Amino acid sequence: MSSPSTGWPALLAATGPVLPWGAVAAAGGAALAVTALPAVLPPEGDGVVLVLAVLVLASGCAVAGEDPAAREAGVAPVPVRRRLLARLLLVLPVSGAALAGMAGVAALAGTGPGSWLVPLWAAVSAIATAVGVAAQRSTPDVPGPVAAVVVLGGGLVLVATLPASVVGLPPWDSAVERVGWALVASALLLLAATRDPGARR
Amino acid sequence: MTAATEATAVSAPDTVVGRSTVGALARAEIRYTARNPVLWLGVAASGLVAWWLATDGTFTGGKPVTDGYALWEWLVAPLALAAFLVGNWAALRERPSTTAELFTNTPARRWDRTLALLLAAVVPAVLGFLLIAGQWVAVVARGGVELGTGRWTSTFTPTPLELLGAPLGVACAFVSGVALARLVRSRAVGAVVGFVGWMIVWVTFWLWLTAPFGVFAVSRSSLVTAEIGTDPSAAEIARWAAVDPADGFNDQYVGGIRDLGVYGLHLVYVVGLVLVLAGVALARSGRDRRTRPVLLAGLVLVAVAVGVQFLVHEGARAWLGLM
Repeated sequence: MSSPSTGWPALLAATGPVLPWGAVAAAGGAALAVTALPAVLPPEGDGVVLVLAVLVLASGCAVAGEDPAAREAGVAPVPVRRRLLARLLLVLPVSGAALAGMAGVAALAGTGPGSWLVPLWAAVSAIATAVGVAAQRSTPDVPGPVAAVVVLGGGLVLVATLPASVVGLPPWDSAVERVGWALVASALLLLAATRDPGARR
Repeated sequence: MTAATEATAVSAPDTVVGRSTVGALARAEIRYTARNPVLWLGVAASGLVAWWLATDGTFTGGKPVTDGYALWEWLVAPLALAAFLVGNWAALRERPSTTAELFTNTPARRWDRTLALLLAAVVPAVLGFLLIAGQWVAVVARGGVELGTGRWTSTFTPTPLELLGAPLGVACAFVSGVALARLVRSRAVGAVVGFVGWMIVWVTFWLWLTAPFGVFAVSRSSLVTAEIGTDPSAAEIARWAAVDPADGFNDQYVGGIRDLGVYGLHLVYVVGLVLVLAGVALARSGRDRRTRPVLLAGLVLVAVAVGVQFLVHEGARAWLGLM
């Protein structure tokens, strides 16, 4: 049930103060710091450091999935998905600004970002948000970034250890396909985690 | 509870509880930690890494001196992340400190509870030890790790001393999770900061193979390496157990030798770091005269281990050189 009386300006104004901005700021600041590391570290890690920074930045997006009121309020007065969208509309611009800052820092540090930066951020942020929402739904005591860190860290280990014969399979052997799979999986997880528990199955 | 008794309970002077109480708390924390599914998820992921290391030839076929052995402790990287999160989470169970003081079912203070939680680091440490011990048995059974190129090849059989680094590193991750929780009372921020720290310390392991970063590594192998010039003499080559000639990645010869002395100093450094972090956690948990010796002992161990490494290992003083 949607609430015609709650407009977007009011929803955004009500959502802003309750978002855990500390985690978003910590993720953005940490990502910027990691991006600047190649200035002092050996060059061997230059290609990887920016990827790691994007993972850190994305983990902050998982706070968009934290919606403690959802369990008590359900879909009234504002549907869960609408509240999630409002949280994303507030969090993603901040995360995007941090990403732009990272691109600038990377350019200054001599590790100019490639065209893959934005798609990677979009894909990983989508995963982190979906994981945050799913964690909130299944175990309300788990903050979104904690769940996102577990999943992103596990994914990092999995990607590093999978044999090349698996990583290079045709369905996901290109960057575009991998981003697409990540977005599709995130969307499915979001749809499942934000469904109305009272709706007819 | 009346307002008067409530005020008395909050402002009551700290009382020192007996060791048996702290021991009982520690046993409870150990039980909780051992049952945490995130920790066992970390063990499973570490097992996956161990399988990967065992099957991709990391510790079998001949390897350059900078490869293979560098990943000796890397299998516990996922367990380290899990240990950090579990420690951070456990320390933040009692976020509203006044409520915790009022309703806790033990007379132990926050300091004692933090100490008990810190002692639960034994759980991830034991798990890390079991993982590295399994790898040690497998590598020793295969006859060791062959490093070097051509006639400059040697086989390195891991020593029992090298079983200590992984559990210490994992314990350090757990204790740092507790210390961070006592500094920043947010699990979300703790997770983000821990993720960054984990990636820098464990994922980008190659950063710690260079000086001076290697001196401050939480995890490293006992193998020390150095660039020995573009045309080293026979005497220079003879100083090293294994040597790689110049190639497309490096225009200099690279020598490698196991140095258990430097590795021992590294272990002392990690022990000191654990004590410093534990001291920070305890200092942030209330006043107690026992905090200072913990902090001081940690700082002394860190200073001695770092200082001696710089003194005895000439590679440690070469900025961004191999070590």
